[in-house]
Amino acid sequence: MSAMVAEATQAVNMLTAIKQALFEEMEREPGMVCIGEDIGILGGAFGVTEGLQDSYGAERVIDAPISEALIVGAAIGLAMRGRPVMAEMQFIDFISCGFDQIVNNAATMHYRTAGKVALPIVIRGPSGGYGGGGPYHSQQNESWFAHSPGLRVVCPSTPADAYGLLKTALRDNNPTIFYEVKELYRKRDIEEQIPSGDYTVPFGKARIARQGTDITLLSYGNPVYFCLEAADRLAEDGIEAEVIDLRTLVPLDDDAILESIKKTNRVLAVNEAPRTCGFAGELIARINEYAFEYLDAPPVRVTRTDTPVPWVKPLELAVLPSVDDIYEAAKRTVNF
Amino acid sequence: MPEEILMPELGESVHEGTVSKWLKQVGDAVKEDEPVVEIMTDKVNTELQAPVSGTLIKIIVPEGENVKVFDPLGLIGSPDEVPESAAAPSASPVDSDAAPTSSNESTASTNDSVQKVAGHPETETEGRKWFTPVVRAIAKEHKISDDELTSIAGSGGGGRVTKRDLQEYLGERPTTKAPTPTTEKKPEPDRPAAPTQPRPDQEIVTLTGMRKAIADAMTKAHVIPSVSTVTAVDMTKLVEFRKVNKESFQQTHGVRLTYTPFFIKAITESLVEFPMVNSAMSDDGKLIVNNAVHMGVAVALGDGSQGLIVPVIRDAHKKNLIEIARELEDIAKKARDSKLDLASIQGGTCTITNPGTYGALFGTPMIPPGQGAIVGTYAIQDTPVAINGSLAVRPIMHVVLSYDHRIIDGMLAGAFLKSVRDRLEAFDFFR
Repeated sequence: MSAMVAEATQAVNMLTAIKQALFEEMEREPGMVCIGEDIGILGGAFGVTEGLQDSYGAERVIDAPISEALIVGAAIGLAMRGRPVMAEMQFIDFISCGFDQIVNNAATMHYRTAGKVALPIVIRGPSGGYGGGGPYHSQQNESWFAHSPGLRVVCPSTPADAYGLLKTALRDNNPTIFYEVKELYRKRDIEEQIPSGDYTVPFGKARIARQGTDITLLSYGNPVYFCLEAADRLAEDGIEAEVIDLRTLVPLDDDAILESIKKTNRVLAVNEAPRTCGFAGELIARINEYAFEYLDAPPVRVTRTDTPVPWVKPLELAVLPSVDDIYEAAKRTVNF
Repeated sequence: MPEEILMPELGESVHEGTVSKWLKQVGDAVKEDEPVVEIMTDKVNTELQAPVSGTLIKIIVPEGENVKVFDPLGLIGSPDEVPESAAAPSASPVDSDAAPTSSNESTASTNDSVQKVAGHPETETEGRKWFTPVVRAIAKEHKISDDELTSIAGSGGGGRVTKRDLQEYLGERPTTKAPTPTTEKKPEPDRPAAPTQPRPDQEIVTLTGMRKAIADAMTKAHVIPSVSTVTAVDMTKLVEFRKVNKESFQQTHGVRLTYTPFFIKAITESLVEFPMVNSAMSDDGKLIVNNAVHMGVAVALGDGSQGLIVPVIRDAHKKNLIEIARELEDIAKKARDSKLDLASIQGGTCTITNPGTYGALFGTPMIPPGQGAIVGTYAIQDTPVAINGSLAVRPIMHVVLSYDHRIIDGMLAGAFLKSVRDRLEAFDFFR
């Protein structure tokens, strides 16, 4: 393969892992098209598609006008013609401009055509706060799309998962919204080797990031690392927290959640998105429905406040969930 | 705001008590520190005082019901807080009208951390226990009633029973490792016996307080493999001494001269000589060697139908006869007046019981759990005995040693009893 980004034996960061998955899928599927703002000549605002247009040409790696509705609409059209599409949102915050195309058009296509028309689309983009990006460049708006039946919603937290899940998403016949936490793109201490072979990660399988017996911390994306750090602190207090990285929100690994709660009887749901109608709320609703009899304490959400993400760093950190928030909520829950 | 009358911690091993009597009724005015309720525990009976002045507006725990340490017994407030229905005192300890009190607090706060991390709901309403779903589920599985659940001491917030508490109660240990599926059937917990149904000519009384404690202690005592050995003591010298000195002793020392202090003194000295008799076997099968003699003295209460308590004379081996006599009189009086504190009934290393006071000739006392032996002293009776080949009439007393046969052998028991006998007969320890 001429366009390999990294040697198989090398530890890579998440951005490189995603780039590599894109190159390999473009190579593997000659009909696949990438479309997005500045993804061609510039190679993407973050460099995820760097070199992609050079390798596969401007007809397969398309620089789109600044119109998310157009990007998604074009992706739907291409996909209806049987061509897998990677549609990039320069920041996932901008996805709202393509909202109607996604939720009314793409999400319902399978249903409206009685399953006859598949939409192998991955809409991916950098997401999340903690980077001083302000209100337009810091969102985690996954629950909008988890709320729209017909879409897959994915948010990996490790390079290998990002690689394996992106491949699964690009080969899936359903439209997928793929959240790439930009704070994790170049995070050095999570660099890892991508498993060799045609490595994919299935949808709907959570990852146990840390085993524990006393409380379950459910999360995905960047807060997975906050949960792990909180778990280290809890362990100093003699509390063994189990950290579960959900990886995909739709479909959701209900079994993994249930199994963990059966063991720990206590649970926190942590998401970076705002509190009201955030995915943590959905998790807790499900837990109440199917795990109620295993609970020894009320399930608790740890989330962003119901505010925009401020640009000023101290304010940004004040509204976003922190290791302290998770640690304290876990302590209270364990001591309930 | 009404003030709660809380069940205090009456001792380190006292977890609950029974309301024996409400000295005030709902609507009665009470002054601060005025006794309002009488509590009976395993160890002591005591009166609780009003924490504030006011009116007793509610009895949460009625007479005869149990109350856990730190739980509220009743409420003192202003007279207008007396509920309408107070005229007919409710027997139910459950207070269903109390609303959670924290709702204002959580809605009023706009604090970031409150929004980011949910506060806990108020979980325990006054007088009513709240159990978490998993606790309820396990209780259901093991057929544990709400009353039984309520009786478990909780380690959670506000004394809430956690899953771990319940598992420990059920004799299970939570696994710290990830559980592996097992086909092994969990051992069934001990089920309480089916409730006794009275015949028409019977009534059934639930054991409470001291009676329950005695019943539990005797059940435990019965488990000790025990043997009784008896000796006869010629009490001639002692009887003579007492007869002569009874009055002067009272005048000189201000304490009545009874036989019991002599017995305690003799037994104590023999325990120092035979420390093994002053030892005990622990629950985990170890030998507890006591380096001090703390002598328990069984004191019957009332006419014998009101139970019995065993106050302890501490460091009996350091005390002379007069000190022992004074202390004995003091603790016996306290015991009869229900004024003993917890410390004065704990830590005995050996016990004396004196059924001789009510004429018993001979018996086999039971060893108090936690001790290795008990000495019984019986009636002093003029008895024909052979002395140097001639018949004589002497005041003879049986002394019985019941002992834990795991740690005390028959020969040792015999040597100990001989030592006690010789001391009483020689009567040379009163200086």
